[in-house]
Amino acid sequence: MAKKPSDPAVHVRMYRVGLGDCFLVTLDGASPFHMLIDCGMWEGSAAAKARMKQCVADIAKVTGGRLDILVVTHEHWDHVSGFSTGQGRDFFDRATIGRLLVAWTEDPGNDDARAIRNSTAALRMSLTRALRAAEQTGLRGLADEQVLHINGVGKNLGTGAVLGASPSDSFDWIKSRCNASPTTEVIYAAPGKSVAIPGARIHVLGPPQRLAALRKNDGGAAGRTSGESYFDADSPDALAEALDNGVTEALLFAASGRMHRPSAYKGRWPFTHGDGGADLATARRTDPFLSAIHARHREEAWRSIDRDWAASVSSIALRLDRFTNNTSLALAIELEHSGRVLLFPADAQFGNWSSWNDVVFPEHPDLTASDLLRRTVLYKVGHHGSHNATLRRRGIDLMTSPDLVAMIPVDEAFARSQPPNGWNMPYPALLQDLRTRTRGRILRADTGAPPPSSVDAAVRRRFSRAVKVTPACVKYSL
Amino acid sequence: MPEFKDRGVLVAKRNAGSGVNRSVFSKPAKPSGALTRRRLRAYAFDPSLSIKLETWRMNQVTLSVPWEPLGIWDGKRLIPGPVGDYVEIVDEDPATGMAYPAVNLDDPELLATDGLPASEIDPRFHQQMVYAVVMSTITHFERALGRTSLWAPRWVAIKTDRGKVEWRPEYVHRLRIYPHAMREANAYYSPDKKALLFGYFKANDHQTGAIMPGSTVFTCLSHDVIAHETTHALLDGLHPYFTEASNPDVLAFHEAFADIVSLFSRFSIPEIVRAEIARSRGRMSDADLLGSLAMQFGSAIGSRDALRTYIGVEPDPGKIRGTFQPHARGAILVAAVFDAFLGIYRSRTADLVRLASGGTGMLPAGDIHPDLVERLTQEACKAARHVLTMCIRALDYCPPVDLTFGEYLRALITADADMVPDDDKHYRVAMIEGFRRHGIFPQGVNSMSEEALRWERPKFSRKLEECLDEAIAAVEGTSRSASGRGARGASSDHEYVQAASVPDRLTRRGREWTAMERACAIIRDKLIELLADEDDVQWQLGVCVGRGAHGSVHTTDSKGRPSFQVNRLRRSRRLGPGGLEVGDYVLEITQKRDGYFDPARQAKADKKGARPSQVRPESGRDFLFRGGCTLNIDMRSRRVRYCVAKNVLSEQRLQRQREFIGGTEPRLGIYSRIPDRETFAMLHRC
Repeated sequence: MAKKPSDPAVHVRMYRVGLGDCFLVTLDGASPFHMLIDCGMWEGSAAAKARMKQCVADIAKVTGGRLDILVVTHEHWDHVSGFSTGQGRDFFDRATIGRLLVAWTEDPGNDDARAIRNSTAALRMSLTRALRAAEQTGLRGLADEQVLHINGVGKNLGTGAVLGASPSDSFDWIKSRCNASPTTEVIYAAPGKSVAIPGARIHVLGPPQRLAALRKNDGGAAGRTSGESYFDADSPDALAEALDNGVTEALLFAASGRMHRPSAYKGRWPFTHGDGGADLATARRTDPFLSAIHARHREEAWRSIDRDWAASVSSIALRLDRFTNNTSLALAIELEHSGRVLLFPADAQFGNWSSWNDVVFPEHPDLTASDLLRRTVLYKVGHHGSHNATLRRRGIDLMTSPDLVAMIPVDEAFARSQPPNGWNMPYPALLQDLRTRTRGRILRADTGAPPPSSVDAAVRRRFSRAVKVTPACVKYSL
Repeated sequence: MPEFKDRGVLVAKRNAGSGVNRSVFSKPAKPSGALTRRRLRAYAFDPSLSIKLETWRMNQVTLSVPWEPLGIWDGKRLIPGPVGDYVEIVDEDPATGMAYPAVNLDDPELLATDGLPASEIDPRFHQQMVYAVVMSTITHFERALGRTSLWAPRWVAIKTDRGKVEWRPEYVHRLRIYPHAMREANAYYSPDKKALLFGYFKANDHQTGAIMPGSTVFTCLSHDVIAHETTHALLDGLHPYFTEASNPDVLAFHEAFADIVSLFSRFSIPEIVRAEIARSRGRMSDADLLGSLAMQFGSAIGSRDALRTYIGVEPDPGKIRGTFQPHARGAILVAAVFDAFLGIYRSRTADLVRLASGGTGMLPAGDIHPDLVERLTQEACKAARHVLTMCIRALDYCPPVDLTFGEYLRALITADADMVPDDDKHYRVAMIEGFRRHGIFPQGVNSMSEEALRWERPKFSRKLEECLDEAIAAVEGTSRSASGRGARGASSDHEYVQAASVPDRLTRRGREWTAMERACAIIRDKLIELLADEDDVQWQLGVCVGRGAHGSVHTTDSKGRPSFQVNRLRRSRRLGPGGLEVGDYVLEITQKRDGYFDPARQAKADKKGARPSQVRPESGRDFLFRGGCTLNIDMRSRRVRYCVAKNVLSEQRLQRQREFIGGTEPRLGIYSRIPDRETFAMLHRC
């Protein structure tokens, strides 16, 4: 009797790049099959360059320069920085790439995708202009923590003038590199698509094709779409418009200092009729009413709103950041024989996750997202373990496999040191839930080895045999 | 030299050469006292309704607000401008680098014409409208609560002699208002600045036809937005801890309450109610305009007609379980109250409709008779006034922290039962039905009947009541001068001239604040002494002091013992529709405790006997947990009528808060990266 077919051995390497994603999934077979998911990190993580170099060197060694599939999930610096910057470029330039898997939002032939790209590009440009203007003014309008915050978000989006290269440069480079190569097949993956690989199938869960879902960043958006809050038009276009309307213009005006004569500005928006007021600084000195107010409240600088309007730059930047997270290519790798699943949701947030249940897989009509979650034995924790990139009820509560293991690509110390208040990564309550679900089997990029926990000894022994921690990566073998 | 010319239709005369607007009060003269109201023109809704044939007429209204001299005293003379006793409007626009001329509402020409005519393009009208709407919102509050309104104090860090930093409340006399604060589709109350910030923006390019794409939308011209934001400020003055999201209802309540006030204050303008009743033939449920909020804003940012609509919403009792975004959750509470109002209106007008329809209840086709319109309007306005008053009054019966919708219902019912003992118009039943239909149920009661919902009368030891009596007597003795004379009753002639020239602290409201501050300190000291050995009373008041206190409870007294704050003591004289007067002292006590996600760490911090110095507040707690109570003390007998407590030692509540703020399903935790202080800025932006 023939031996029951079984899965190939699977090794997942989480590279210890710091706060960033870089995963190598290897399926053993006649010749090992290598799939690399993202390669990026936050600039500023400790000893960033050396670390990235070490990781890329390890990838080169393990794969021998051949990537059967390269997945680039979304255009954020912490997912793409390795491709084009000094540390990784040589490798990726020379490597043989079988297939490039990117989200449908990158497809030049898709109208929706183009619309999204155009409007996010417009918003990015507006943000860049606003931030440049802000820099010229020495970010006068903003409190220190906000400045740092904007710079941080701006860096990830590629809006700041801080960086030489931006995530879109990096992403574009790898795309064009693959497009130019005759041996590389580029796949624009939409939800429902399944890609067969030796011994397994890759199912695409997100990003959703409904634009509305992409715009949902958090549960609160349920209220937003039903018209419950003020800022409803949360599309990149609307945000770009909002920025161009006001903030950038104002920042540029502020940047110009006293060079603009007030009269040159007078009569423009918002009051286009009549004389429309007077220059603020002059009026404070000479207008009897305003000068009296300021004289009376000399001690009341805390009430000034001179800086408040600029805060909208940071709020808009933050929203673009979340929007981009929601364009994440979310994948489930299903092993052919055992049906076990490796889940890689990248940085998908609420809208992306909650759309998975509607996905239909034409090649596997019986398959559902909940089914895949139930069979998940390896969960790459979304968005470095943040509070809003793992759903509870429609996410982690469904991951009921007794073999579940979680990998968190996080650098907690670095995240917590971020302005203004530190990023809460990994989020304590999420970590608690993960601990319960995985029975303590959590692998982290920063601490590597699993923390001591109360799982029974046999499980722990088996788990520690399956884990290997090196300076470059945390490797887990299924 | 800036050009602060008067513009528009009405040009004020100037004193030749002075460059200063002439003011009738440039020399403080003794006024006759005959001026009691100021009439000011405003949009009933917002400018978008003035360019529609159907609505332009009703959109022009004149609001009547209490008279007060306006202007700012510079030591020698009164400089005219929109600065009164409660608010100061500063029309600076830093995003543009401009300042706009201040309107002089005391200009004789404006006095004679009820202010400037409505205009989108004249910033002085913007100031006038903001002033008028803010003041009328304040009036609603004061009428309902029976006392003057105070803004939330500002907390300032003061270095004590021993080098320690202590936080003290500092009096804020006026709410600052910036009508053109930023270029953003947003408006908010800043608890940090004690200011209202209104933004302006260009309308989206959505082709709905309701609004010109690219036209400028000023949030400070939306009646609803102004009333909404003012309510946030007033509510913050009453309940400063209602901005702390300790459960999903707290911030939602802030939003809901602001919407309730903007919806129902609309009914204080009979012109628009009359027009809508005529149009909808008396069926309030078809009067869309009355039940929708911020129409221009809604059209300008999306494709809908209004930002929020509360009319024609089918109640869904299951919705509240899955709705956590503050606006969306708050909308459920507003819908419940609005439902109750519709029920009350229907029952108040059923007889009128029967009379007008020959007993059938079916009105004939076509327009209804103007007399009927008039009577229905009276009923609608009266019912709305009652509902609004009920809703505001209930605030004095709410716990000081961690409010839930269910507790608000109980406060509503109790407050109303105090004022109107026999509910012959069935308001309370209507309210209970409204809440029930929207799935809002209080915890800890075993039925939704009125008796079950009313707060229980507490039984306190004689000792506590004696202590409170003594403390109040001490306060009364020292603060006779500040005794309130009811809601904003006309200031004396003397004060009236002086209002703009005396220091803030010496005005009537300032003195009241000073007296209250002193009273709170006296009561606190007396209570701490008394409570140290009275475990039962501590439990009743929801606080924990003395030797047996938990180590996680904060110390705020100089001796380093666990202690509490007495936040406010306000006098409230409420007048019911039946002529019944209820006079109460409202006393609020709160206490802080460190909360931890990890129960083991919590237990460690709680451990009895832990020295307070070892568990200092900033010792890495995960969150702040508050408890305390609101006491309603009868003014005459000085007996405690109600004690609405949230126990600081409640483990159940602590666990609930833990789950709420630590939940992974995105709730409010998502704002954790944003500095807390601009709660409303973010809430309204996101």
